[in-house]
Amino acid sequence: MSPRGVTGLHSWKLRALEERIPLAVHLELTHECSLRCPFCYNHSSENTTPLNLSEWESVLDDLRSIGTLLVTLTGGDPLKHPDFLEIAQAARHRHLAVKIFTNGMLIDRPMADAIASLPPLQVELSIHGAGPEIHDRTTGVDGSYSTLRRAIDLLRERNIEVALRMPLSTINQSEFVRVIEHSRKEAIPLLVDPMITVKDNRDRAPLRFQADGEAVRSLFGLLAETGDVPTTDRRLGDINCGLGSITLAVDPAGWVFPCLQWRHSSMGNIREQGLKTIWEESPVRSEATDVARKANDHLVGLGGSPASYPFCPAEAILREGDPIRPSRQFFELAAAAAEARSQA
Amino acid sequence: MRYAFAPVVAWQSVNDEAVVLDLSTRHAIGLNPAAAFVWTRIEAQSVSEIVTDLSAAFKIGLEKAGSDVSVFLGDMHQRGLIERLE
Repeated sequence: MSPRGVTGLHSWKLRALEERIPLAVHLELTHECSLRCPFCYNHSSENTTPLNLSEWESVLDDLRSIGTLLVTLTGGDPLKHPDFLEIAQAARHRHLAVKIFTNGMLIDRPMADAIASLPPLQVELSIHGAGPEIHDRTTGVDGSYSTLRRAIDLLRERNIEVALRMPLSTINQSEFVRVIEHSRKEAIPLLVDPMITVKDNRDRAPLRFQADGEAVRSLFGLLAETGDVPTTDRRLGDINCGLGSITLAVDPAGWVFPCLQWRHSSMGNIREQGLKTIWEESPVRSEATDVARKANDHLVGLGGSPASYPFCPAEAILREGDPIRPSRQFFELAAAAAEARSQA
Repeated sequence: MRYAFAPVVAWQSVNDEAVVLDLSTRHAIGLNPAAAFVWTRIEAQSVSEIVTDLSAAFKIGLEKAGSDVSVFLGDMHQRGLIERLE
């Protein structure tokens, strides 16, 4: 009868992969955002009516029944949805773990109190610089850095787990080292994403903000000090990622995708079919699972640094039109990562 | 006597097992079928009702079921994963 101890969630994740359970799901509540970051991947469709609270509750009911444990509320800024709190509470009432990915612009004292009462597993905030100059220049909104800092303080005062995420770009590549130093000093986990992605509609405009090779090598050199250079262990016959197996994303208009970045084909729309039916019957999901296998074996075949660097098939589709064809930038990142690991 | 899930708990069950996640520590524990049987009934039934159902479902005596349920709930309570209601 005694509970069988499990270290972290790893064992459950392996089981989810084996049985194809959508363990971790992204819910894009809205594409609205207070900020104007020039490399944002979101492409808002203006002719859609966002899902309302009742529709999101149906999604959560289905997620509960098909085995989901974690929902990430994202956007845009999910706090811009008029029913954000009610949706987050509805997820918690169904005993789901909730993670919130926000820019922090709408987190004041009452909102911080409300978030603390959920409570969430984590609140992840976007940061773009070590101070107001670069951060506000990136977001296009004066005062956004001080608002972000206040949000971080309000959340941490309430013992909420906070993490930061920073896309490395031409705008902040001159001071990302300071952001890393600050986060280490404050003991706040920070993920620096070295890759700028194309927009969901394949518009390549964001790519001109891709940080240069020197900045990427410098980033990986710093990450190597703590053993945090991105890496993956591949073997022939494995899968590249949880695409089609344990991931799922629902956009503000109810379109369902096998993951947050996979936008070239939808699994269906929850206004036409229940999410449970979509998950169980969609041929797009099978296609995605197949891609995850082929991408892995293709990279194993390439060998060398590409075989040990994390690869995103959905991003490859958007950028190259082929889910197993890595971009030139992927090869550059993989080489830089390998070099940093070898010098560590 | 009845229990409720603590506010820091997220959980999910698949087939006959379950995973319980403590949101304050980010620590997860897996529950075997018997433990998951009890866990999934915590808010819906009294302890005595759970004991009766466990005894029938797993074909064990009432005394053994009562002891097992008591130990399990005590452990979960000590971990801060459930709260006593009455």
